[in-house]
Amino acid sequence: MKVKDYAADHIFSFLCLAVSGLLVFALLWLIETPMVFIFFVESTMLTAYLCAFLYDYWRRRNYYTQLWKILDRLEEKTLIGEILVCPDFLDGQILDEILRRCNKYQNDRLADAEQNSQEYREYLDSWVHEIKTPITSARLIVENHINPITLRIDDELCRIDGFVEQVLYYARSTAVEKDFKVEKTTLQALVNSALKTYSKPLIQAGGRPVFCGLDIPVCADTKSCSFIIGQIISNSIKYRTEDLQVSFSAYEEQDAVRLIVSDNGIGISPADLPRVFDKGFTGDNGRGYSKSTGIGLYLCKKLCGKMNIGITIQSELGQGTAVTLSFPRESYLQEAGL
Amino acid sequence: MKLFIIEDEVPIRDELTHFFEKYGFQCESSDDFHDIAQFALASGADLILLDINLPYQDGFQVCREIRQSSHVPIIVLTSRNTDFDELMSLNIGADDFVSKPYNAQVLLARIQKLLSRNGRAQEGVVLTHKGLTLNLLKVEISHNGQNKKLTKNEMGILRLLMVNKGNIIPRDAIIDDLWQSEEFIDENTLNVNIVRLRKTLAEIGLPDYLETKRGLGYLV
Repeated sequence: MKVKDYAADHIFSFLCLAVSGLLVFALLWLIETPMVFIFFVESTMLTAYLCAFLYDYWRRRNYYTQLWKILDRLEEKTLIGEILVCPDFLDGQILDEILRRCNKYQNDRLADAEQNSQEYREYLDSWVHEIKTPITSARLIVENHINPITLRIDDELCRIDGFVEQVLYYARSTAVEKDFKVEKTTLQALVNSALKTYSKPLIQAGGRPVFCGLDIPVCADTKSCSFIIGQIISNSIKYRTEDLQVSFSAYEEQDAVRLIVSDNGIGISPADLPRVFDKGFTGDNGRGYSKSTGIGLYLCKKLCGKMNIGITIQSELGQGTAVTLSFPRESYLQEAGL
Repeated sequence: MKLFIIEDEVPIRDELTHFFEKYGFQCESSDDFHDIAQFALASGADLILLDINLPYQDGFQVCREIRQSSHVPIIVLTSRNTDFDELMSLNIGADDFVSKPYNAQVLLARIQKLLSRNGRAQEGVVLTHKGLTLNLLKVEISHNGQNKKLTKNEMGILRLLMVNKGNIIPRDAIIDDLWQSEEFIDENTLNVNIVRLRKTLAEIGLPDYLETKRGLGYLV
């Protein structure tokens, strides 16, 4: 709070003072009071006013400066009402009370919303685990009675399972407390696990995986990484052209191991490319293929962000798409003290 | 070879029983979950499959109770595929952990691995159909006293066909089965393997054992 601003705010009381000063001067001059007395009266009035003005300014400045400081340092801004010190001037006290009540209301609403979303997430989590039981029974039934019809049912069961997994990872990507289990593995193991999950649609599409130099050890959360690779494979299957081929290649750099999953599919137009990781974005390809949900790559990006894995995408329309995953190297992790 | 299945979902239990019986295992289970650990121990099973979500007590308690008096191999099967459950299972003495929905073939492979590691001989793991015997452990076929070794892929194909004897198995299903054991073969490789398998079968006197159903798949 600057003096200038505070004074500008009190311009009306300055005017009142000036007018009353003039009136007093005129009155005293008319009754022929000696100049010395007039000067004395006027200066007494001015001093009294300035003292009151400066005292009020000082009180407010101290209080508000402290308030700003607290607000800046506070992480949860809505808690400011809880830690306010009640000021010793009236308007500040009123403001303080209003702020307290406002913040209380906000915090209650926030806590409610948080609890709701937490409960919802927990319900989703338990639902996912419940639904896995009937899926497992159904798939075991198919396994025991393999014929062309049950195999078609199995395809659909696999799709259901894929969607259920997506729900699980969606819930996981928003939860802060879900930790990842990072362990030593190889890129080949991650890719194999994803390929096994998407084996049916890949085989039906006549797809052939090609591997190149995947025998590189990485530290990663196996399940989540397989899920991410699976989402990329599923996109390759969805947006394929004749004679689908999915290639997995890898190379090491100084601080990262890069895994490139590339296909020879329809590609993504340059206009859509920067937005493919946005939630719900389907773009030109999405309009042509009803199966696009705009969730897959969004989830990949989010999970990658949580696991400190870089994810980038390159594509040329009609040529194919390549997604690069950059895993931090072990030595790099060690230097970072992880 | 006897398995004891501790699972409260009847459909899963029935299908697992059905599946493992095809591979020559004996399966036992019980509906009384109060003393399930005692039942499992009394059955003299060679391996126990254990679900975590059970009535009365959870699988962890059952596992502890079994471990107090026996070292029988235990595989935990569960839909609660959190890392905590996995860690907990392994810590209290389970030998392996498989989360739902599991592939039955993968489960079978893990059971076989665990049994052989525990020195429980697996004489029983052979499939027999129409005079042909396939030994899954030795990876060989025999007919009328003649033996022939197979490759891993050939055995995988023949195993799938023999387990589902009398049913037509589509080509995609065979390829998928091999993919599940991380053999990412394509159509051409499958053709080559089928031809080789037929030749091996002919050499031991079964030239028409493997039938082709045009446009549908294969059948034994």
